[in-house]
Amino acid sequence: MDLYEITGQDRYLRQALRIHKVLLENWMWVTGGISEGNTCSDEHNDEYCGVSEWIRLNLVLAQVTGEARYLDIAEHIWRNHHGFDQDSGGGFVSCRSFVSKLENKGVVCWFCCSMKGTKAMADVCQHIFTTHDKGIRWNLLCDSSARMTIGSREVRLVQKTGSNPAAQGSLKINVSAPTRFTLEVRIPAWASSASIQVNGKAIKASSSSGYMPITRRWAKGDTVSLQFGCRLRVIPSDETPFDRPADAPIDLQSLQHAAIMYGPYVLMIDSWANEDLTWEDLVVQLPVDWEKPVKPARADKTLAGAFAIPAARIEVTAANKAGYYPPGWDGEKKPGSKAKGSRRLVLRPVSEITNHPVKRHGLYQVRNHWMPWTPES
Amino acid sequence: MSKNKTASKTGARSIAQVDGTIEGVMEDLEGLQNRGKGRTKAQLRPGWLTGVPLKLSPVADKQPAPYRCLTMSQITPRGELARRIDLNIEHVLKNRKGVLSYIGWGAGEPALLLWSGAPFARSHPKMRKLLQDAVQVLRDSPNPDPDGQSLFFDDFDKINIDGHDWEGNSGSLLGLMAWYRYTGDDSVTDLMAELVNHFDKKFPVEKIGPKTICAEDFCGIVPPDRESPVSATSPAVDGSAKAFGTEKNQGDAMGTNPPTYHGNDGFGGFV
Repeated sequence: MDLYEITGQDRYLRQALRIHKVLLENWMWVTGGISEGNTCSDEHNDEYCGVSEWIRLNLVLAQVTGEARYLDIAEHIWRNHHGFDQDSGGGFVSCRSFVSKLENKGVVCWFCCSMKGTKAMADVCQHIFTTHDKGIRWNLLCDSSARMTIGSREVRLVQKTGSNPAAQGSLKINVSAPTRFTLEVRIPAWASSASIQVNGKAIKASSSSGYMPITRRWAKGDTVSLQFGCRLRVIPSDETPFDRPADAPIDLQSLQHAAIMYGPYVLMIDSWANEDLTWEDLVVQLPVDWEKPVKPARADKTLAGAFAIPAARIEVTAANKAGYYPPGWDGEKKPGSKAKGSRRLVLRPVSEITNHPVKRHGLYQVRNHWMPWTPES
Repeated sequence: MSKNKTASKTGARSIAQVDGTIEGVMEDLEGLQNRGKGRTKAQLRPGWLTGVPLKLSPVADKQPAPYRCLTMSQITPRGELARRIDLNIEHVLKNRKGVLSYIGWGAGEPALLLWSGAPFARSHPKMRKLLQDAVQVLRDSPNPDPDGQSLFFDDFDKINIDGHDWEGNSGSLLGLMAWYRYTGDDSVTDLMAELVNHFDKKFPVEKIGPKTICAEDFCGIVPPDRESPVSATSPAVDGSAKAFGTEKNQGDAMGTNPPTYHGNDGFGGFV
């Protein structure tokens, strides 16, 4: 990509796009991560080095092409697998596995991956906002402050996020003198709706290519408020999270395996909150009404502040083949098993689960049992 | 090998202002080297990458991309991301002795530290100090080539072309570029020029291919128009697991990295 930027030769961009396509379609897990060796798509071990470059490639492609879909992917990786790979001690890991049975927590590669994490987070920071000839792009919801020059004016921005940092935010704009420019607000693909207000007044603007442009004469203290709609989404195992619109219908009955997302967050089963379940026999009854909004998460006191993502703590109905069946369950029941009714199953964002700073066996580890949601339906 | 040399701050153009072509880069490197260092133009061997562009000028206000990203001096992360960064940097600082002394990939670790940490050089004084130490490690590389020209491990011929020597050296160049880019510290340009010489001698483009200078850009993946001259372990660009050999990748000379089935230059390569 650097070569493309310098030379302007399309062949370098085409090459990067080919690589990107291969990685996205064949190698990327639902969490946004990629395998350690890229030898096959079902390899379970990861390596943060590759993840960091995968974030970077998407950020640079977004920068060069201006296409928001690359930021959708970058955000997806950042909010999921990036956090998943950051150890509670701050380093980043290699060989962290998705297979619960292996209990593979990975190795903190202080000599390599940990520093890749440093760079990746700098890359994310540098793309929260981007500038162009006509103004500013607001790409990522992330608490931050920034300064830049538009025309001859210095513009200072202060961004604050709400209880769901991916879906709620405000941007305060300070300019030395009223200045006309365009603020392009990115509408992520995962958002089921978008509400934008300027100084408390809803605005009507048409989104184009993933961005909603707001052109006006900006004055000191102007504030833009954002609210994106989050909903539960089912991602079939043979699709990426970007293959269909967030509000596209899906035939749940046809699913064999799937992942579940809440907004941009990939959810995983919280094994500690569901200790008595036998994961091998887990059967999940998907909620009937997927349109029903999910209440915001309540604070979890067991999480360290550094990693608490007050996003989704979703409770759905689950059953264990060995004994639990939700009401109305018409699936196969093992002979002799005793139905005891439904129970609530607690899910959390993958990055939140992984970074639970639990000290066990003298080491800070990820939880022993966790897995992507793969319901049999 | 040069040590602690400081380039003159007057005279030649800044590397950050070159036009991005190899000719421009070489012109600047020549200018920098010829300033009071007793180097000759011939030593620079300007033919080492003829026709292959090299990026040295990705400063924010010079970016050719239509959408310019910010520098770290323009953006201040807060909230969760800031906490994650702080925790990560704390972790890196905690392991500084290991990073600076562990040179399993040639001089890769100090170089990677430079490359990754440079954006934070201004905002984190302790990180800046650590990065300065990393520069010093590169200057004082413990295993110079007997001819005094190359800086780092010279096990190129001992293992294979996929060896870590290449990664360490290319990573070092990228790390020094990043350090220069973010700090403007032109005392490292002499070291960069020496690396150019080293590359010319040990890693000719005819043998290595564009991976020599754009490891980061290609992420270790072989360009589609090349039958891999680089690695028997690199995946083909079409995604097929092409020739993931086990025979040629014998690990590095120090034994710090045991042989792996995929090598270290896949997409997860660190440079």
